[in-house]
Amino acid sequence: MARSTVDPITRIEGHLSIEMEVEDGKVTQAWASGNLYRGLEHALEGRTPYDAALISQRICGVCPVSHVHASCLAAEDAYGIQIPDGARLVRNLAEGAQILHSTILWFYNLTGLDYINPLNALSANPADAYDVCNQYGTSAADFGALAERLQAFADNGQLSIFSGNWFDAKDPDGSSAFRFDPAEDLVGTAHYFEGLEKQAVASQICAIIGGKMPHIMTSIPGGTSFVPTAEKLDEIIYRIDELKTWIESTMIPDAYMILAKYPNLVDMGRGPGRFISFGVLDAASRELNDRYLPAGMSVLREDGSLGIDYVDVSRITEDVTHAYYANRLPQNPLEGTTSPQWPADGKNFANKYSWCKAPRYEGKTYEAGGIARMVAAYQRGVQPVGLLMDSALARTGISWAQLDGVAGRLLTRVLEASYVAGKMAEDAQELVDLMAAGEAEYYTPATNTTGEGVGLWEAPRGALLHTERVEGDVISHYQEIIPSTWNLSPADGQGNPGPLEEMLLGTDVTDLEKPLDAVRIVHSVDPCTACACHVSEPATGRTFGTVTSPWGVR
Amino acid sequence: MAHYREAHPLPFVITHWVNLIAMIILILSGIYIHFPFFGGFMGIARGFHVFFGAVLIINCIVRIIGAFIVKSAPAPGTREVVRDVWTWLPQRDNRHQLWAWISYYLFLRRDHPIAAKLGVPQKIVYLLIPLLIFFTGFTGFCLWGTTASWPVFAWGLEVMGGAMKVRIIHYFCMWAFIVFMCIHVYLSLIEGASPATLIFFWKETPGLVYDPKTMNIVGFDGMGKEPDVGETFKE
Amino acid sequence: MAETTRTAQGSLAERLTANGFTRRDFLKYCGSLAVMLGLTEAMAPRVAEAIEIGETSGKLLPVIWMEGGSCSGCTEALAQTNTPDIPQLVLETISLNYSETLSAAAGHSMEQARKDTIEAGGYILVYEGAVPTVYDGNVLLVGGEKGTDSLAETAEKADAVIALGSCACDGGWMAARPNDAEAMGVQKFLEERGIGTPVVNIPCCPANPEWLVAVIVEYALMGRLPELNGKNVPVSIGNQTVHDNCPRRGHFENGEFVYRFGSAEEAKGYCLYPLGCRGPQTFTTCPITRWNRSTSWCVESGAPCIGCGNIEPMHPQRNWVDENTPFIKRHRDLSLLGFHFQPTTAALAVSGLVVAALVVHGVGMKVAGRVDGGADFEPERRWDVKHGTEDAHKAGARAAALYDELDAKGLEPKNIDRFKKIRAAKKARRAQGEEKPPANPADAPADAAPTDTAEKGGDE
Repeated sequence: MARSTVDPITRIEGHLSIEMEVEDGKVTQAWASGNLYRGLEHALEGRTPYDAALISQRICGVCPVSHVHASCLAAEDAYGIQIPDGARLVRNLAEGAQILHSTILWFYNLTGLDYINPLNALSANPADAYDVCNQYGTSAADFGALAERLQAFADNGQLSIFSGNWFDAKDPDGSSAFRFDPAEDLVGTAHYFEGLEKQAVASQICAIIGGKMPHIMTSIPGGTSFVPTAEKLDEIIYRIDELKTWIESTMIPDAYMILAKYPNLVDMGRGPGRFISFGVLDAASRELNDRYLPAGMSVLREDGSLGIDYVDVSRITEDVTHAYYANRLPQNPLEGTTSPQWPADGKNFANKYSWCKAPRYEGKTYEAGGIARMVAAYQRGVQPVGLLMDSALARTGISWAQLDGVAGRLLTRVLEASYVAGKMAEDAQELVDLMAAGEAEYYTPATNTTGEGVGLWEAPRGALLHTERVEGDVISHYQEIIPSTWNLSPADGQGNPGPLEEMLLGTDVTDLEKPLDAVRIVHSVDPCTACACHVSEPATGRTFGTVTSPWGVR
Repeated sequence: MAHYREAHPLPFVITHWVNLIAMIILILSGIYIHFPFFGGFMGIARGFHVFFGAVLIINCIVRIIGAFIVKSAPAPGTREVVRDVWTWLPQRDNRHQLWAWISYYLFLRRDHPIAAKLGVPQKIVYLLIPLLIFFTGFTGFCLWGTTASWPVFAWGLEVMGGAMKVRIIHYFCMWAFIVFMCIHVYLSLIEGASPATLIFFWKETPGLVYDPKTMNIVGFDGMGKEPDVGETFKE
Repeated sequence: MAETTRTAQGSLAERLTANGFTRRDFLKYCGSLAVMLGLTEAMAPRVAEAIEIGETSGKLLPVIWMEGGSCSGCTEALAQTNTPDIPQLVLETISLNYSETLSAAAGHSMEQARKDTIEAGGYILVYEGAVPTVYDGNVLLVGGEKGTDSLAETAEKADAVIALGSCACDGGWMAARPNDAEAMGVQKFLEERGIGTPVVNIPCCPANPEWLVAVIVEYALMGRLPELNGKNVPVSIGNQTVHDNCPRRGHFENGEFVYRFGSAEEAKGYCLYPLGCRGPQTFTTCPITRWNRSTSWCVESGAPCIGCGNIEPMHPQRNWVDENTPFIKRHRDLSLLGFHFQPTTAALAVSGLVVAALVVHGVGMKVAGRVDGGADFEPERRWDVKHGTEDAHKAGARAAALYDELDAKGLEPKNIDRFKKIRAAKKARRAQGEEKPPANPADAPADAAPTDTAEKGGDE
């Protein structure tokens, strides 16, 4: 029995570490620790919903748009207003662009390097790379120039971002854990750099709408302060087209290339098979179950059948048995009272080991993310999603029952990107029609300034909830449940491990120093710990050493 | 007391007018700059604000220099004059009278303290007002884009904690002026309009005559319309 | 990291040509780089020379990129730049040996890369996010170490530390009340630890990647840090306000404003000042540099500036959130005894109290009979009665006798009464005038007299 630790996990957002108990080359127990606490919600109390929308998105630099939208939805719920259709479409475009940005960045730049070895591409014959493109139907690039560039980089001897990577890691059978041949690595590396370019193009859509990305500025409670002009829409539509084409001609084929070369991903990192989705991208009806990617609590059964149920927020509880908060029974987060507390015995897997709380739905773990949205959309009869999923499963031979592994997560998210790009093109057209008819409005003022609201939404990495209580336009209580807490949560009081901890069970760890498969699993859920670790209630057990001055605290 | 022109020589009547006009324009344009309730005037408001800010400061400097050059009466009710600055600073005439004034205003005593030109609280406030003018001007220049980067104003921004705080401090200074004006107008009118007619229109009014030497009332000057009593300052 | 002499693939010029760049393109790039570095465009050939020398000498600038209490937004922002873009930057300009978001490696290998780089020295540390210090630094654990200790260790040996983004500059929103995490900026933290490595602060939330690249490239090519202002922000970034360079400034001067989101004025692109735009007090060059490859920036998209570039490196409590909320109002809130309120509220409350006190006082003065010229003078100063000289007592006795004489003659030395008489006279004259105008002067001689007195009062 031996321990294998990965700390820090890189190519994620925030600070995460995992520690695994390994027996006979297999993981028998795992602990995931969120390692940063920042305390956002306290900072929002005493401020206005408008402030909260703009500040709360700064909890996460990867999915700020989702946070600002969830915050706006909560505020609009409290204010008792519904935003105009023009604003809905503008927000959808920003949200969609962020999904594209986030998916591309994750697929190539965060998890991609688990499969692509740029240094191996050095020995590639650029001509072979074109054959690889033909074989997988993926797009070609100037492979000759890239090969030269890589060579120059390698000759310099400084490895920069590739310093210390586990490119020499081995599979249990002794073969290299990186299975691409040099030409495939060259294609992958070319697309790795192209991905950097395309995620920036997607971000530019957010920037056109919101001024900059990350942290857009125009989505506000009541609608949007962005007023589209023909010129701006033009720039957005052109980019949507560019991205849609690229996703279909490059990213999806690349996913198939990875799945073809890494068939072991299908059974790697199998999760609980239960999925939570709050739904994202509002339809005209504003119904959760009617969203472009609808809400739903889905289940994948062993026999390959599927199930879906309504989302009921009151069934969510948060457990802090193993999190750095004062002990209490699991509580619904809407009324929970918790306070951060660094334990006397420090980080201790028998006691507390994460800043991340453990959310459960009816006491059970649920996985969140693109896969949860796509499974829900499939079951709610969203036609394009049905077509995409059916053909992809047929092509890869993955069954529904096997979908909750690393392969399923990679596949569903790239397909989702293609679907979202299509819906963005439709929304842009709808906005054009609305503007042409002179009916485009973008802002609804608040009708009351006191109330309570809940915003249910999806970040690229899963179900997101913001809730606030507003009194006289000032927030008295603010709370978030963050997507990654679903996936990265520590064990609960019943001893159920968090989804990620469960996924890691049984994973091959051939080399304790280089547990590459474990890292692949972690990356497959696209962890985002900066926002996962936060405090959700006014601290009751702690007084802050504050001296009050008119300028504020201390 | 009789109100003679010697109490407020003509230059100071003028500086008082300039103060009044500049402050009113500064307050109005300042409120507009703080929040432009209606459109159309921002450039004008800012131009006026900066211009009259400079006028107020220069006027204040002129007034201070004037205090060392111009002679004025140390009290109402006399035509004897001394350097104005002596009437501004604590005077022999109203030493020991701070509490007398306060208790008079708080209705703790029945009779009026014998006054030099300025009562003690008034004197303290008038000494602070130039400081307030200079300080407000300083914060204003810290905020004005054209001067904000000058080392002295950049230093001010840093010391006071950044532009937002300086903005609020500047704003509170305006309110300090407004509060001062309310109290000033109230106190100068509550016991009669004579001081006001003198400072605004340089118009004299009959009343008791004061002798700076003995520091007490010595007569009544009816200014030809009422009988004189005791000593007067007829030429 | 051992120094390696590169076996160059021909000269830079040859490689540029191979990549489809002409020498002209290259000089153009150097020209824009020169401008970014605060040089004139005429310096372009010199910059080109520096790049070419850097190329042939074959050593990239080692960079360690640490994340503290961060949202990774600054890393994300860097991924959006294209001058140079990320591949150019991480492959050909710097050697990014440690980056939690971009590095391929993970776990102990990462930490090893960091330690190796520290040992070799001659590197730049880019620190993103706030420095959270609560629970003795246990709120942030990386590689089993406290984030605070790693930062101190890495900063100590660095050539320079770039505090990237408002959180790294002064704690940013993390330092906003109640500041649970007891967050602060890098500069303050290092000063408290007694570490003297120079710190360059690059503000905004997230930091504009173009600014970071300009600083890194300037250091990589010229071996010097940019000129810094009092807040350690490069003067080329931090010495002008957003307002100074705002394209909507014309509307501001014209007084053309947006008062409500979704209004016709907003569609016209008028000035957002009444909606709380913080441009006038935010010292950054956002409108010039813009964001996401110069695509847009906050005000251009219709959002008022919220002042995320306002930093106070040595004062976490002056973070941009506390300094600027509520964003929609022209002023920040003040906090006192747990209440948060606008300065105007406080000012109106105080002024209202003063005015109310004056009204009450005025009533008191009326009741006390003082409004008609004040109370009677004391014959002798109270202090003099106790402590005065013989002369003072004599003067007091004279004054007392004088008051008696005035009373005996029925002379009223008070002013208000005179006005009353004038008003009464005027009223009487008017009443007379309506009945019989010519008789007026004769009928009211007594009443007219005080009027004359008042008029002649100033004649002497």
